Amino acid sequence: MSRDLSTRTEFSSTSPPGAAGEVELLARIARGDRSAFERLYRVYLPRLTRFLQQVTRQPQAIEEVINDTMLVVWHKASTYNGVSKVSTWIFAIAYRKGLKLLSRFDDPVAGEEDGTLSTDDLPEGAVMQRQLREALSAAMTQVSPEQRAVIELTYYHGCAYREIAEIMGCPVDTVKTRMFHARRRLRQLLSERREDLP
Amino acid sequence: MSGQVLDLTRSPHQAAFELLPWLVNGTLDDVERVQVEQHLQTCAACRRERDWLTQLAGACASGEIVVDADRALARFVERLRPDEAPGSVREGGARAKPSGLLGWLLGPRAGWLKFAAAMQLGVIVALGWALLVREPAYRTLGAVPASERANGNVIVVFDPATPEGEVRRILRDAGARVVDGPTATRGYVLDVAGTPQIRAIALRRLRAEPAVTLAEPLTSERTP
Repeated sequence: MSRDLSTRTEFSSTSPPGAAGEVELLARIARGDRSAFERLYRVYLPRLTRFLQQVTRQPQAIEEVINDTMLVVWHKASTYNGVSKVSTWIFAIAYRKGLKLLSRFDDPVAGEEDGTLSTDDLPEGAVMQRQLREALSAAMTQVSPEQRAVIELTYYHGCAYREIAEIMGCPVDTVKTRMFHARRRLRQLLSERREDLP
Repeated sequence: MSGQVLDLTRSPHQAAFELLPWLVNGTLDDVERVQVEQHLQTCAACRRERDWLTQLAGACASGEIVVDADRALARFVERLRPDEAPGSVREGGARAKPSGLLGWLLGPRAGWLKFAAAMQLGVIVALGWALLVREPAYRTLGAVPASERANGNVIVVFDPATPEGEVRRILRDAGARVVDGPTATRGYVLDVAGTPQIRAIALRRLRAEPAVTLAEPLTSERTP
């Protein structure tokens, strides 16, 4: 279930750099190595896209936030001190940028649901999973951005709660509390849509 | 002595219940994992919650993101560096850190960043130069061209707290009009038309005003 944030990638044409590789990439970026920056950009683009889509629900502004984030990475690579993982450091920057983006909007934009595709040819388990996913996508709009960030970092990016606390710049108890309220709210919302949830 | 800090505010059930999401995603440390798993053996409510969270995790974990990295990267670079040639940044090799803006500009950073900074610096210098060569809004009397000074014959300084309306009244009563200022010392150059005697009267009126801290002629005329 757990997937290491620092090694997850979907599209890089080369193998994922891994945690140690990312530290090395950052060191090269600090020396002005543009190819290292491009590598890191490619690795983090899908992760940050997914994370910021889930947290901000502002798809039209995601690229701007990512580029702002990666600009900070480019400028501040030399300040990375190695205490946290590179992924934690970058996601923390992205999270702050995402919250800053949200402060510009009054009303969040609900995420798009792909409910128009047919489920006729899918096995029963896959249909249920798909229905749950669609219900979850709608339910996630009903929880706060901070709660969405905790859910997303836990279940998509496979973060430990201490790492999430670092990313969000809050105590670990705050992370647990946000998760507690998020899962209670999601359970309530999903139960309303699906009577067969346990 | 153990390094673990006991949280006396939480019951074992509450502590385990809170940690279930990270048991499900496999990121608890060994001590926490064992504690939660032991609790699960005796708590049906937590087992149901674990099963629900496992479903939730499965739903959250799906939905891969497909992005066009080449296009996004191109836009990122284009946004900041419209004219940098590819590969202008050398790879590898430790370099001494530059100091100061000039050092940074001449340092090892990418050319597009240096270009952007140089452009900014250029714009700042150009704006500064434009401000210098055009008529300055604030300048010392010595900076006023002689042709302009010919129109002014009195320098006056008002108390900074004087309302604008009061300043206008004082000037009107003195028969003066502002032709320059404020100067670096907050002075205004006034033109008082008429004979030297009229200007002497105007000076006396100005000096009599509590709001006027200084009123002196700019010509060699002797004032009583």
